[in-house]
Amino acid sequence: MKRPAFHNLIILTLLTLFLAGAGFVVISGAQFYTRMVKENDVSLNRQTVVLYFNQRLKTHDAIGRITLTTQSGIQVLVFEQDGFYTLIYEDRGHLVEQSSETPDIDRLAALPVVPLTALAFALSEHLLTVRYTDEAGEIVTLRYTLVREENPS
Amino acid sequence: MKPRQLQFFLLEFTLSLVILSVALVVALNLFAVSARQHTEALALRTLSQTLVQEAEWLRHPESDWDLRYPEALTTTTYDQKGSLSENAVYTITVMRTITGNLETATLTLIEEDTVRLTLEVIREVTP
Repeated sequence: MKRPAFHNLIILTLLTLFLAGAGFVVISGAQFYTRMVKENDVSLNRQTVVLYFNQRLKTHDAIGRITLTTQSGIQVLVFEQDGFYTLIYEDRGHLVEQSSETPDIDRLAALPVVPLTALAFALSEHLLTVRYTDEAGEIVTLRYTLVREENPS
Repeated sequence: MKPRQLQFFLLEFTLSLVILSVALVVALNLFAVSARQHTEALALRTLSQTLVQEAEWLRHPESDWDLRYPEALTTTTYDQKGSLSENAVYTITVMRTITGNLETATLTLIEEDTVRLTLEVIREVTP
């Protein structure tokens, strides 16, 4: 049985279309997945920063022991509770938390929380402003209300 | 190759192509669903952060609620990506009520008709 030439052409076209479609799906799927994971990481890290400061501040605000210091040019947010200190600052591209008996920076005792850069704090009577640059290069500003004078320990 | 064998080969080849094409369509559909869920998750995270920050502003002892929320019920709408928009997919409402000497602001994040998150800020009414 001999097939006409256009039958072969149709089969070849179908096969080419299928291969092109399969290649498109695999490549676009890989790109989509990579982008999704990256966006998800950035979004989760932003959420983590918001919730981390929210939880930390609510815990220590009632006690009224939140101070802002600068050590070796690094801004450090210091929480004091029962003679122990929790220090929050930026170290090597990460927001880090350090728990110690002194309010001094000890990088070896610091634990990384999330990646960020250009972390800066501004503390006023009722307001803590946190500003940082996230992994996507976007500047994020968070404002937290401090009501320690209304809720003294 | 005998004609019978060739026919069988062509039939098998065509069936394989059909099955693989269906698999491709299913894969594309999966990507579309994942993309929609991903966008929804990002928008909800962004808007929950907006809600928390708004609640922080309301908690501030010197914030003037009348200035930002002059009505008893204030509504702000957002699109599917969580950006301010007239095309409402998400809505943040702020309901202000006064009971005795306490003023309450209830912040609610609504996705279409579903309430996703509610926060309440209570403070004493300033004379």
